[in-house]
Amino acid sequence: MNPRLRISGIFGYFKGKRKENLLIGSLLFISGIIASSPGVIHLFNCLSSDGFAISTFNTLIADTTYSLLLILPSFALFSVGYVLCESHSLGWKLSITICGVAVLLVVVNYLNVELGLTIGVLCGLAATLEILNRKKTAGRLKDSPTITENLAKFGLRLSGLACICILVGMLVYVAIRASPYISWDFLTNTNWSWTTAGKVLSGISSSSMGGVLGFAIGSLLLAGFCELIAFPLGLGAAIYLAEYSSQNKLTSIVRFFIETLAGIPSVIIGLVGYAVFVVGAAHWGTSLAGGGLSLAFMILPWNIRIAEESIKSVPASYREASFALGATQWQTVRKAVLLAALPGIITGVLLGVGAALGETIVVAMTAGDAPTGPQVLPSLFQIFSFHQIIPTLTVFIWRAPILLSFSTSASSSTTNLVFKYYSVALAGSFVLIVMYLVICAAALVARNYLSKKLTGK
Amino acid sequence: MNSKLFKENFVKAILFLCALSSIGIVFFIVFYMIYLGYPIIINWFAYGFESGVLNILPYMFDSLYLALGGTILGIAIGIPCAIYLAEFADMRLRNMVKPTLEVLNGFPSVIIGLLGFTLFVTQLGRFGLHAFYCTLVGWIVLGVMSLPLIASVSEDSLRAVPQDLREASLGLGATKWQTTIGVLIPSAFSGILTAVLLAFANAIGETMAVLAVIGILVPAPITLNPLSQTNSITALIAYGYQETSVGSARYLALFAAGFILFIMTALTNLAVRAIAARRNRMVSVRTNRA
Repeated sequence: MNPRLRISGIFGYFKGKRKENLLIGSLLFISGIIASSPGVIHLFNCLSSDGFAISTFNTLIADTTYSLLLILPSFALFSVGYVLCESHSLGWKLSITICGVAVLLVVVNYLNVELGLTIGVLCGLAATLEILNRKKTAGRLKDSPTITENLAKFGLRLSGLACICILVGMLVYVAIRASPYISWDFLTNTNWSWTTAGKVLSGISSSSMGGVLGFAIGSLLLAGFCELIAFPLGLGAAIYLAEYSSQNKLTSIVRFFIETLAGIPSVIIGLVGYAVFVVGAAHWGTSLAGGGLSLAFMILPWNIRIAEESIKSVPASYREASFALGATQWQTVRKAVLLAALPGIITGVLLGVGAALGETIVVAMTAGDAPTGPQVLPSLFQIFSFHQIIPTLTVFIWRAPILLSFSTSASSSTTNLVFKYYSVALAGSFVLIVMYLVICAAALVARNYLSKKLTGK
Repeated sequence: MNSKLFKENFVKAILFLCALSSIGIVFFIVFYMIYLGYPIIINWFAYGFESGVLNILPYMFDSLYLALGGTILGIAIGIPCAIYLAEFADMRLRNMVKPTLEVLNGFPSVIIGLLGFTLFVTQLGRFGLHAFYCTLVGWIVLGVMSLPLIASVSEDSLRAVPQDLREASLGLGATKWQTTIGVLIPSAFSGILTAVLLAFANAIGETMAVLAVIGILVPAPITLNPLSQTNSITALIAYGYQETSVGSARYLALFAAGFILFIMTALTNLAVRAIAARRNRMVSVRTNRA
């Protein structure tokens, strides 16, 4: 590595070998100061004398963290700009863009603090990624001669980072909005309340909103029940398609229908489930069974696809060895292939559970939508009976924008309650996101384990 | 030995039944919709979509318009992302972004809808209206939802382009960017098109995210203005099923609307299948020639 590259850190940068660099640096510095100003002001406010007198230690810590988070964007802004300038030397255009971002950040900060915070965290993330990336490529030859090509690369990289930023941004934003409402009581209280759209608001009492545990249990029960149906069906279909079927017309028809089923919008599955299980021939009312069955219809293609892929990824040598020992086909499948593909199959099941957890409209239509008034968690026996509303996180969350859209002309006290419900729904979404991410992480770990085992690395 | 053979065949039969189950489910769903909605469907196809109990035409148009805008937004970010991941990114970044795309792909749509509502509907509402429900916000939300699918499928197809093509182009003195634009994208075009069409079909059928950002149903005329309030077939069904009494004409019309929605998504999926078949044929021709 070139020693000069190592020295040219922040200090070398500000000494300025070129005027242009100096200009960009000062522009970035100024925009950083502008961006951090709300945070500094907030910090001064909460450190002023009356602030000390009133606030407890906890709120002081919260306030300080809060303002530090507001200052963070300026640092992030600075680092992003610095790294980009250094590695691409785009000069003027880049500095103007970054100043634009800074101004936007300040405007957003004044309009909506949470959004500003989220953008700040995202900038920090992008900067970290950029620095990581740069350290690796620092010694390498730069192969892009023109500004157009540099700009194109920059745009590509930005859109690559956008995916991470969208996910992390949603997580951070929801976490910030949810943080005042997340408490031990909220997480463990099984009483729950929700309301019908626009009609009854008695479910929300201003004193207690109930907890989220009831919803989480309901969601997990539904997802588990749906996997109970979809897993054997999906695994059987996957084994047939991967091991037994030959390439003929029938197989291609089966595949075509699996793809069609995967493409059917969930609202249609929900509607048919509603018509058949809830009000139609079966007349079960909203129930765990009806909801689970309808969800299973939706999840089945996922299960088949992932299980088939993981069965197909088992090397042929496993099968040949088993056949050579005199095993029949079913014995081979059961004892050699399935065992090797097990982590992949578990991945499929977990992803299916994740999708079922996040599904809303099917659940709302078949497993229960909007009871009125506060409720307690149904007992174990009740949950499995018909005509029983199953509380689910997604429907609980969904009610928030619907209530808000209906409550435009309501009285102010009602509106306050609705806004409180809305904030609690954001807290509920945070819980849902965490559950979903945990399941996804487990699925990814299982799949990595499979690929490591099969490739022998 | 005979019992062993019997067992083998028995297992095979059961597995075959499992494979057939999805055919059964699809037939069940489609026939149920036709069974309940056929007078209205026939009426629509015979006398035009504006006739009958329910004028479905604006809903169809709005669904397609929403999905189109959302997919275009998804393309605008997703395909550059795919190109970057396939051609420019180092392994470490790619190993970070790929799982992110998968996680994002199955992300609970209701949360994306709620965030779209929070960030755009109420924020835009500050500048005048109480709450700013419009097509534009629907596009943004659907764009976020279609981004991971477009990015990951197109990345796979870009990666599947044979290494020879890259080397030949670079050997002729083209830069990496020229190679990407001139060689890689044309040869991965069918895969990218598949990704886009799949995302489009998903966007047509998306319910929750759209529902949160388009607000309550209002009878709106067909308009191309992205700042006006909009509807969709999915929202029609999702709001309608509780408001109509079971067995009424309006209730049956929901099933007819569901059938129309199914036709729209199924046609898109058929197009995907046709493209895939064509690509397979071309690949086999290419390998035969070689």
